Amino acid sequence: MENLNRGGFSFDLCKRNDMIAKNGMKMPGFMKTGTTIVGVVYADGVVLGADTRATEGPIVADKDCEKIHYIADNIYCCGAGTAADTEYATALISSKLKLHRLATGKQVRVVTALTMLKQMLFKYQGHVSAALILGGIDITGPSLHTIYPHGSTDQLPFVTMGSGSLAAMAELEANFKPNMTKQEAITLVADAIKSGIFNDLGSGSNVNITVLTKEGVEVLKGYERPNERKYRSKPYIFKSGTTPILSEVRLPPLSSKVIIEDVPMEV
Amino acid sequence: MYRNQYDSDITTFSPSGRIHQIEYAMEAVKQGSAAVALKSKQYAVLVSLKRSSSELGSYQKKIFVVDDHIGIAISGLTADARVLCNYMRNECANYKYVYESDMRVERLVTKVADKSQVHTQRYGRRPYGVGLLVAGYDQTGAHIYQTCPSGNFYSYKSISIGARSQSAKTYLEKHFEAFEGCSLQELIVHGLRALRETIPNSDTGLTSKNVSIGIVGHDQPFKIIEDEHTAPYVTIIHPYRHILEMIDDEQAEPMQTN
Repeated sequence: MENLNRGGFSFDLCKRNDMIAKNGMKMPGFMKTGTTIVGVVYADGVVLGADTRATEGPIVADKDCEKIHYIADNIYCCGAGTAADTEYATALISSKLKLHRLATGKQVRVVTALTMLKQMLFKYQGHVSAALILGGIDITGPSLHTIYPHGSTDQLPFVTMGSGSLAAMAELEANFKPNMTKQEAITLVADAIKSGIFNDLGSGSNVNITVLTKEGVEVLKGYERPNERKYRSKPYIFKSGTTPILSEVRLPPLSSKVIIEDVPMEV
Repeated sequence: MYRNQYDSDITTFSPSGRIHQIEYAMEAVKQGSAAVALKSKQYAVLVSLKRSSSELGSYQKKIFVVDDHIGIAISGLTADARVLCNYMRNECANYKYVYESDMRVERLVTKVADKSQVHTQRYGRRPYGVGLLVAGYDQTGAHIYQTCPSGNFYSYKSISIGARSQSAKTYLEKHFEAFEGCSLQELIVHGLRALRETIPNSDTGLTSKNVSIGIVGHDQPFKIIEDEHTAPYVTIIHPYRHILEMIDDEQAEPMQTN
């Protein structure tokens, strides 16, 4: 029997899943992030932004999830698509880059992270449903890339991904200009995310922002919270006497009628 | 006499119950240049002597980063050390990916020891000819471990391995009680003083070229201090070194007389 261990991804289980689905079984659903994610290059670096809603079909599964993932000290990645896929794809590449950094002794370049991610996603032929915005700053300067689930990439000065990408892109196309200041860039990104939050059902809750510069990274979690929940402050405690007592019955305590004793274990 | 009959194979015991090949592997560690490790409550420090093959050559790297919170100093076969270092880096990265937290130093050292032990029991494999001093800081504090080609590992307050390390050990035994409360600076100076004991008097002594320092602690990710950055520390233990160098330079130029 020839040894079929030639490497590469085995699609046998994908065929099996398709066959089962065709025979009528309901496939389990997965948590998608819905999502509006945005990236913008400005004078000194890159600003990344994301909303914080994770959906499971029509239900909001997580009201405050973290969509901007750490890849390296100078590289961060926003993820849209299946939550687990974006989480683990970025964590795996982050791990590989750590070893790469130790082996080379140099700061990681954004294009290295880009190449590792796109090669992994292409290998899985789009079955890993991760649409990513990769932003970072290295010796060649600030850069921003998009990575699609099938493995294609673009490099652009401003990008949006996710179900709210059209709403966010409208905002960016109207107001983007090159060489903005840090505050201008952050405000632009926040406006783009809010556009997604309010106009797309798959996006909602808060705006998370991460700023990457030569000096380091600035994580602004919850930069804007336009959907703050107001929790009920009145407790459900009623004054004694609110319920009228119609009649009373006094019962003897249970211990007067029941004896509790230890039974030794029999071997 | 008997030693020679039972020492050619890793899988052969001697009549006295020893495996000579393992002991020979430990000898390889003693051939490497000295490395010293010491710790306080908050910090762990590695100090090592770098050797170069000739005046023209570079000095062999002795201290390596394994993860943000762990580093190693090596003594013995450098190639074997590189392999173990890569293994440790992979294990730490994998642990961080799976458990999303830093690997505990003892766990990592146990893995290295287990890997080393395999090479003492399988036919056709030879033991790793390198001893490691592992310095790390985790949730349980600062740690110093020594690994051996035999597959054993030991936890220490301070230790030295390599050529003429006994002299360094004598210094450490005299001063180790003070280490617990030392600052990082004091710890490095103690390490350098211990290292200085291992140099024969005829040599040039500690210079910023042949000394390598590694530090890690509760607020300090593992960092290697090498070359010109070691100069401030080397000057502390040799306060008149720069004057001695000036005298040497003058003596090198013979006086011109007509």
